[in-house]
Amino acid sequence: MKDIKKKISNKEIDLSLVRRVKKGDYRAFDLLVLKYQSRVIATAFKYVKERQLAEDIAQEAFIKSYKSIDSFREESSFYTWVYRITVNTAKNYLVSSKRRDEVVISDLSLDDSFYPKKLDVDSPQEILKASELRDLIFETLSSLGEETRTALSLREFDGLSYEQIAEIVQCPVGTVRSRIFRGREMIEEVVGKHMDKNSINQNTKIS
Amino acid sequence: MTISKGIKEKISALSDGELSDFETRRVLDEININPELREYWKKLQISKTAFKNESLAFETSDISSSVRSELGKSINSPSILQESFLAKQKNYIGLALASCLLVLVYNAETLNFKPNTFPELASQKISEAIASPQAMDVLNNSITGLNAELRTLQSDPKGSLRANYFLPSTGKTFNVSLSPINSSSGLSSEEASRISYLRTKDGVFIISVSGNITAEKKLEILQNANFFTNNLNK
Repeated sequence: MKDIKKKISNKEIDLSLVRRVKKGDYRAFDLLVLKYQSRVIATAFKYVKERQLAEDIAQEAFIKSYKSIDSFREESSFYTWVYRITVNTAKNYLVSSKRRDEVVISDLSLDDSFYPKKLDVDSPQEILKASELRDLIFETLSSLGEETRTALSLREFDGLSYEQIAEIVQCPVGTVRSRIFRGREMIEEVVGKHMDKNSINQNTKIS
Repeated sequence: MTISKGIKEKISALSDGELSDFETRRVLDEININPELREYWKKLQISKTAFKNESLAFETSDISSSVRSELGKSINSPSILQESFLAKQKNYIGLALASCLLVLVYNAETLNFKPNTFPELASQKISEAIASPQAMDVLNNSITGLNAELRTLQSDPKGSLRANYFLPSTGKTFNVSLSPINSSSGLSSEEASRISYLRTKDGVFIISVSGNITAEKKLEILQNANFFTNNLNK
């Protein structure tokens, strides 16, 4: 049977995963976690300013979203929905931690002034690592052959569909798909090496 | 496990929303069973984040395993649905066997049970159909995601199984029937507005959906059954 080509938006890709989750397929939810975890952690970090806490809140937000996935009505995107859950979880945490602080303060018979939370932003090394990774990705992109670079750039920076790119560069859609994939293969290799290197460094520090 | 460039290219296209529904489903199945493809998916998201000029500060964080362990899940473990289905299946088989027994008792009492007669052969067919785990699996997996409640499960002398379901959200009911191919003549086209053929290890079945539900829902039920059967045959 001929496979009918029908474009699916990013929101729809997520919704197809969500529908699988609703049918009880946890593995589809795992892909959504992998896709959005860094954005969800970054959102939580804006509130709590502490990496470990941000990760805990993100984890809690994903758990809540999984448990209430049946109530997700698919009117918004999955990310928007998780984003709201994350913000609420972070706010609730701040309210409850402030309450805890007040209890501790009162127990210790200190004054009633509010003690601001310690601002534990990323260390300079972490910022450097992230910046290095971004530079590497962009360097790799610029080192790609012209056809590959053009296809990938039109996709990633201009958000064009494969069909639109094919019209611009005047080649079949399948060729566009292959070029974009080839470019990503090169980038993935760089990302992989960078992550392996950092993981070795982290392990060395631990041991 | 080595991964082919072809499947990676498809994952790349999936991340751009450039796959058909059919291809998407196939690729998701592949990702689900191959950890390297899962890792590839993760790395793809990193480069996409970089291109969107979003922060990469948290790209090294991976909370997926802790989320999974908090929820008590394993990537390759049976889904919740499959787990609950396995539990339910025991009840269904019990119910089905009870129906089978009723037919046998009825036949024995009213027809004075003669060996090698049609009722005996029919009962045997029912037993075989009901005893087939594939048959029960297909039937019950066809309604995944519909939140339908099983009302009755009936079998007939031709070896067919008919499950009657109730949809609490709409108050509607519908039937999903599974019949061996050789009893297909018993299905009326008016009754079974949607029919599909399924090949399982136990033979070819016809699955049909009837009732006052939308054509879209009927199609979804058949797609579920087909999808499950394809996996079953791998």
